[in-house]
Amino acid sequence: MRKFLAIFICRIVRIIGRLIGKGTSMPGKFALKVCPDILSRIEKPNMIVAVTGSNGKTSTVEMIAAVLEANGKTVAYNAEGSNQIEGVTTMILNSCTWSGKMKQDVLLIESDERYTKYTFRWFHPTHYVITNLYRDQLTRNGHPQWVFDAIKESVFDDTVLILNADDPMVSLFGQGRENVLWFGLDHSSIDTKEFIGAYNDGLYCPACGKPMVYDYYHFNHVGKYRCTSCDFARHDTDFTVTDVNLDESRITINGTDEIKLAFKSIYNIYNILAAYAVCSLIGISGKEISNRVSNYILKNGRYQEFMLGNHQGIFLISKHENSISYDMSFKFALAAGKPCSIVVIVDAVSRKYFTSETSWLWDINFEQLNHELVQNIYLCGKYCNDLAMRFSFTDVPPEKIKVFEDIDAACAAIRANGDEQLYAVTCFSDQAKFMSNTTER
Amino acid sequence: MERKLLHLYDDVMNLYGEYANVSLLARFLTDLGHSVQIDTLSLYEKKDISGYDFYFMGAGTERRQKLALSQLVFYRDALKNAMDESKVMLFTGNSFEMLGAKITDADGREYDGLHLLDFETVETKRRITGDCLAKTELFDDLLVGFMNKCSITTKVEQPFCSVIMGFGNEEDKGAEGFRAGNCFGTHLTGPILVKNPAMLRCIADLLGAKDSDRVSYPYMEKGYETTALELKKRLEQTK
Repeated sequence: MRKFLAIFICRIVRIIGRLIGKGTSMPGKFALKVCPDILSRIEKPNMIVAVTGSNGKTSTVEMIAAVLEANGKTVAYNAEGSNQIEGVTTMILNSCTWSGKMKQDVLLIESDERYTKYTFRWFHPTHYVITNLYRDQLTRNGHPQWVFDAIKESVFDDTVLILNADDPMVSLFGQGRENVLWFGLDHSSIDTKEFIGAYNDGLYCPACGKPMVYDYYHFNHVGKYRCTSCDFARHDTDFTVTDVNLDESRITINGTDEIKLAFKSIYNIYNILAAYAVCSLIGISGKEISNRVSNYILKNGRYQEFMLGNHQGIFLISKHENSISYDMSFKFALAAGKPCSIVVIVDAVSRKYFTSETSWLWDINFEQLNHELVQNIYLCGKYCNDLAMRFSFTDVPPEKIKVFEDIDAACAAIRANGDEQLYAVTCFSDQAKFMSNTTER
Repeated sequence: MERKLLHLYDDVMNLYGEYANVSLLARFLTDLGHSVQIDTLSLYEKKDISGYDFYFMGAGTERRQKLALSQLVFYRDALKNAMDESKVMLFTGNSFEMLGAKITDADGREYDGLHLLDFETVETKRRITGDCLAKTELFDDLLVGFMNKCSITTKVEQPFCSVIMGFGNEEDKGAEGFRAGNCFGTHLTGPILVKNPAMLRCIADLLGAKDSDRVSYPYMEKGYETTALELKKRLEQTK
């Protein structure tokens, strides 16, 4: 009876919430009040896939769902990205029958890395993807090791882990464990011999603390590493990007399956690879996966094209308080190989909580924008002065830097000046303030 | 005059872009007419660290802090001498906890500190993060910053500042960090000197800079004003 009541309340609140434009966590919250163990009472599919990590959760989940649905599988997943226990509860209770049975083939969960332990108290995923662990939103997350410990509490013996072998901290979850499958990138043209970044979180072994060495880096501290003291090292992979050709926008997985990239970023490659791994395990052939994810354009709005005056532009979501996310966006902009200008906006550090914290700007490798292709750099928003101060510690020529507290004024200045390609880089919290000045391309 | 700056364990105690403190101080002293030398001490490195005018260490994860402490013990005497000679020293985040008597982790394991001061730290399972506003006797401007810790520090003789918004050594608000002569410790993390122009001047003055008002960085000053304003507004809202 309680179960039915919880499902009933969840759906009613969801319907009302939809009408008044409220989010997806409130219905689950009410349901959990009525029946705290509701998640263990629901009859779930045999295949339960969870995805967590600092970056790439939403995109990976979206692609897994797209592949499965294209191949006739039914999937329940939190498409709206509400990824704490309340949101997951909302999704599950809206996907089951009134008697509490899920009839889908697969339950697919994007899970917040810090709160995932609360969700999996009630049931365990059969497969658990951990994408990466970076410095990300330290304001709420503490730091990557703190998040590692939080995720660790949600990792159980009966779950198959699907781990990013190239990320040292993520690999630590697989230590001393047998039911692990690994994904990663082989040595390719994108790699560097030397470390590139403002800080290096791969200098010391996460297992024993002694120095690590790298054969090569894919980006930041992600690459082929080994400890100089203990046996901790990058693991051989079960799912592998065996070739990367960014010029031709394609990758090859496991030597045979060629995939076209709609978006030439290393993040996208990892997300595709993680999705490939999961879909393979569910029984979809490599060829069918490749067909669906080739040229796949994410629907989650993290990449958008726009016009601003005579400028063609690309908007790249980069999470504030996440330096690697910014590093990747700039890398993407420069990889196009064309003259461009860059817009960086830091106006509200977060849309979810108050903070005025800007230390993370010093962790971003802005030095890479000291590049002949970069014409102007527009620093905008309330924290434009902090940005400008940060840039004064790079070798970017000061005459390229334009500082605008007012985002609309910055857009007016850009509109009046030139027609070079633009890249606008900012977070969800500041996205609309910029995009409202642009037109569709 | 030459000024020598030493950044301790910049390779592991670096959770918050703390290198900016050393880079900015070097620029400031240079612009004031001094010649400046910056050195670093990496985790397993052994070398003579005496003879520096300024010692700095930033914040790390709890595990990295223990790793750093396991090596820093070799430098106990050198750091004690530097303190006794009134050298200017700044320890931000959990790095300052190492200078005390002991650190107890959240599982109850005890780590012997350097015993340069008598305070004790206990880590908990609770993360304390948030923006801070604080007063200090060192200068008039309010300190702005951010805190990210899981620890409680007790038995501090003289605090560094008094928190108006945020967490202190032992409780919400109140006494925070420590001061012992020219040695300062605070859980205000990150580029604290960039965020607080008055603190930069204070450190530069202690290092013998004359008339440091001669040099100013407008973006830094305006950045401080913005953050101070935001934090004061926040304080009003939460009262």
